[in-house]
Amino acid sequence: MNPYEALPGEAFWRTAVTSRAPLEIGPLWQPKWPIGPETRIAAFGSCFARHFGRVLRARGFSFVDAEPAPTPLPEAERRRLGYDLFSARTGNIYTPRQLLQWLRWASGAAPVPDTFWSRDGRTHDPFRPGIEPDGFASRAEAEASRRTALASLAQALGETDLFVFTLGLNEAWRDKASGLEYPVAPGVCADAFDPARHAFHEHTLGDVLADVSAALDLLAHIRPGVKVLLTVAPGPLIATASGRHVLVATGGCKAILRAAAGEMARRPDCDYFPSFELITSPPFRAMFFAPNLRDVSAFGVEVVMNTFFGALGSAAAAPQAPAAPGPADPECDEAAVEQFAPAP
Amino acid sequence: MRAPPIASAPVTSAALFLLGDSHGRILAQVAAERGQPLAGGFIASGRQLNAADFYAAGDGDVRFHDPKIEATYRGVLATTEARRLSEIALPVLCLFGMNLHYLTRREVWGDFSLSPHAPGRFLSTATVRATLRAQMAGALAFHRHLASLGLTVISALPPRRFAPPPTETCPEVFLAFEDLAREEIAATGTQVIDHRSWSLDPDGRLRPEFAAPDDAVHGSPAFAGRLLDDLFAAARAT
Repeated sequence: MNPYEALPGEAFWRTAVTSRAPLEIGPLWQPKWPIGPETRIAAFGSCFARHFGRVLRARGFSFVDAEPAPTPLPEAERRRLGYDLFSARTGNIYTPRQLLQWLRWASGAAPVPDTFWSRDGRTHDPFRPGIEPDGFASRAEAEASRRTALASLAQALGETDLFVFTLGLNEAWRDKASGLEYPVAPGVCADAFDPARHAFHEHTLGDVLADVSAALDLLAHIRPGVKVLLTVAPGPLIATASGRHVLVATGGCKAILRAAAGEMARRPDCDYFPSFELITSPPFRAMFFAPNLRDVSAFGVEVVMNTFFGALGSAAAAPQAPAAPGPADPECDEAAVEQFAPAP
Repeated sequence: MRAPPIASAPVTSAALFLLGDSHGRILAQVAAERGQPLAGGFIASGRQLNAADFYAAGDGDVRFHDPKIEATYRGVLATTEARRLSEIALPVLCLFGMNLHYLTRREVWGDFSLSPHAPGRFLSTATVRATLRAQMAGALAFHRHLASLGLTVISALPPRRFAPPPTETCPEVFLAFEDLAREEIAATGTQVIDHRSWSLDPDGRLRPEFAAPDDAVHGSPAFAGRLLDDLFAAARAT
């Protein structure tokens, strides 16, 4: 008699993985709490988080959209201007520290900064650098838009039963004086990098755990009873400033984020959904990646979302034929970094 | 407002060819009363002339998908000697896209603020302009088509009047749209006549004598008369 004798087939790699076709592996996730069409779900985070909102709406689930666009605005323009991607127009939130910043500003726990960037006579929001690709017409517009985004975030938090957050990066750029963190390095979208004012910061596992924990505590304070579902963005880093090879830096980044998500999921108010494993694990042989081996294809997104809804008992849609995405996701703020890559 | 009769015989001495929305009715009526050389006439209400793909272009002409509008257009075209749009030898007065009172209705804009200094859910200029372009997509495409046919095209801002409920214009948005719509239509190559220097009082309201007495959004005969003077002057200058 030994402890493995009584374990089910899913506990063994050979029976759970090797002997199964890739799309028949599972079930990979059992939700901690009931999630149904009436559950009000908000989504924020890195690029992968925006798929949740789109698919939730398409499946008739209750997606919290606290900052909707005017109804006549076409879908392509909505996405270009940062609408319909997340539950408020925050743009990508890549690190737990950035999430914590947003939650503190929206809840009044910290003062809203008055920092803005400029380029070519236009004003950019350093905390949402991709939200207006051409910049705002004036500083007053940028300030008003940020106020609206924060009010919308506060509204979303007040309405949400389930807060979905996708952890994206552990590398970030900070303002030295304030300690505030930007989603994209100064100089990429606007402003200019100044070593006297700006610094690179690589979050350790301890940093990430502390920030996620603080964010979840603040969420629970803002919205008692709210549940949190963490995911880890499966896409590799577009670039690293760590000094290491980008492949090695990606491994380190994802390991930290994945470990933190798993640790947080021990909390009763937090769960982890394995989109990272679904896309990146060996049995899938990178089949869900676009040709650049970074972007997740539409086929991959569909498989992930089918897994999510399948676990909820919602009929899974048949995976569609793989799409052909471009070299980088244009809606992802981080994609702006790719232009600086040297020629191969 | 009663539609003026469409001439059954070509107006061979015309100086301007009107493709009008509802604001064009009073222009056609006053021009007829004053004996001014305006051919063409009312085509359809503005809301029917904004949606994308309300017409098909081809063979130097247009074909409206709505049979009733198409029949009206053929009747209007018959006021000239042209068999198709490209044969119009006159400057074209096209009012498509200028139904600002409807584009700025509260149903669409009531939840938003366009001023960064006002409370409410703020929309940036980029968002407002992109939305306006979508609302006017069909009209803008039509203006571009007219330009592609080599026609000289003139348009005009509507009178500054705000529809009451149920349509209910948002005045703040209407004022912003005056400039945005003028810029968007001008970008297609159309010359836009801006009458605000003479039609507004010092407080920015339409002078009472320029408001149609029997409805809430259109101009009066006096407004149409002054505007026609501007339009014919612009046509002569082309």
